[in-house]
Amino acid sequence: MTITFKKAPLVELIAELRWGDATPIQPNAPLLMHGMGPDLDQFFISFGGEVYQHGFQRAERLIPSGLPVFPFQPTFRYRKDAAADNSVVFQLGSGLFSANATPPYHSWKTISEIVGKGVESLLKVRPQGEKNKPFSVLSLRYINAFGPELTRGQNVADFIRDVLGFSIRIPDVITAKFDPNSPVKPQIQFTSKLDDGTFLSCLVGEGTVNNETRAIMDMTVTNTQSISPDSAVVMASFTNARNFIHRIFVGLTQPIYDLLEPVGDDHAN
Amino acid sequence: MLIDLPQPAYMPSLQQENRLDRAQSFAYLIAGNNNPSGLTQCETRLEELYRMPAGWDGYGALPISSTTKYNALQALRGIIPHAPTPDITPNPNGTISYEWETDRGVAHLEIGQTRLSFYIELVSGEPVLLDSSCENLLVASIRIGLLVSSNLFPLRFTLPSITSIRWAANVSSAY
Repeated sequence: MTITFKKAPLVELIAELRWGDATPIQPNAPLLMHGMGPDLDQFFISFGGEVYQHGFQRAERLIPSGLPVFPFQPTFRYRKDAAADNSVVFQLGSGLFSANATPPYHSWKTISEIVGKGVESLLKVRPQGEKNKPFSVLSLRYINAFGPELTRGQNVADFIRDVLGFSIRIPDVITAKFDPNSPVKPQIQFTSKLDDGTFLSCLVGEGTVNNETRAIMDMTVTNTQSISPDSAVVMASFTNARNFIHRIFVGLTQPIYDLLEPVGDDHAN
Repeated sequence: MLIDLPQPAYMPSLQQENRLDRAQSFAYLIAGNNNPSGLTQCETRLEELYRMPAGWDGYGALPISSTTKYNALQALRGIIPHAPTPDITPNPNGTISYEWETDRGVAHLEIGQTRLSFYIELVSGEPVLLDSSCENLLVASIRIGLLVSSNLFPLRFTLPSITSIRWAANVSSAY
């Protein structure tokens, strides 16, 4: 059994895949026409048809019809019917697929099943010329936002330092003129290569989520190695990334474990 | 190698610059305006190149024309919001080159008075090629910025979240 949290601070999970630009340049076509045309439209429509079978019955075009589609920018968004569970949406663009999950978040097991359906649908409908192209980038991003119920009213700088454990030592020559009544608003970011060849990027600081002040922890694991266009391989890579981020999250939030209201245990990880 | 045509008989006036069609107006929204310091550095470098006299390489190189400088500046406006600042070099035929190099490959953009030519040579994977007239420079340069960023700097490239999130400090994302 895997541990989950009743009061998880997750505000969004983004599972993303990218592959070679889906709209090769035609030498004699006007540039404004690139990223338009029947192949790309067919790709978006076919994907909509596939995910419709999984309950994603609404498609929303994010870029006005008739305008060029830029590479790696979401062009269509697919969601379930308003009355049903609307916490996961798929986004599709030229060379881009993403599954974005927002609260209520249940568990990776639940979400990964939906992401898996999206990946399988994508693999079925990619245009003929790129059907077997490997994915060039796979990333899994967790955005957590800790509100007052989890920070116990601490200011964000203190929470990030004392609870999450990210500390910055600001030289005295800088702090000498700081207003003692005005807390520092820190923002820490770093990227590091992991021993399996993937990268961890982390951004921690104060911000607002839906206009409410929060301590935000934004973690991404990115795999830039060539990834076979096979749903089992893709999902295994997503699960590896999730397990790594989950271990970090559990480790960092030990001091507020009780507030997160954990359910189950972590032996599966 | 980009074979450039002679300088056209006109220079776009400010009024012409601002008269955008629907697609170009939309492209401006995507271009955004981040990394202004990077843009300023590049503008300074372009101005230096523009002031170089004919024969600047000692072998009869053509000078950089005002049209080429204008095109190079316009391209930067589309590229810089998405990709890091490039290395900027002049070419003996009067064109300007932008280059990016990482362990994933090399990208090269050559801009002249009427045309631009772009390629990415990846360590693994198929090359990316783009050849265009300078008429749709903003749309082309946004594409180029996105292609450079995604292919050579994949950790910098992030998809916006659908949740509205704003950071308190104005620091750009490191990945």
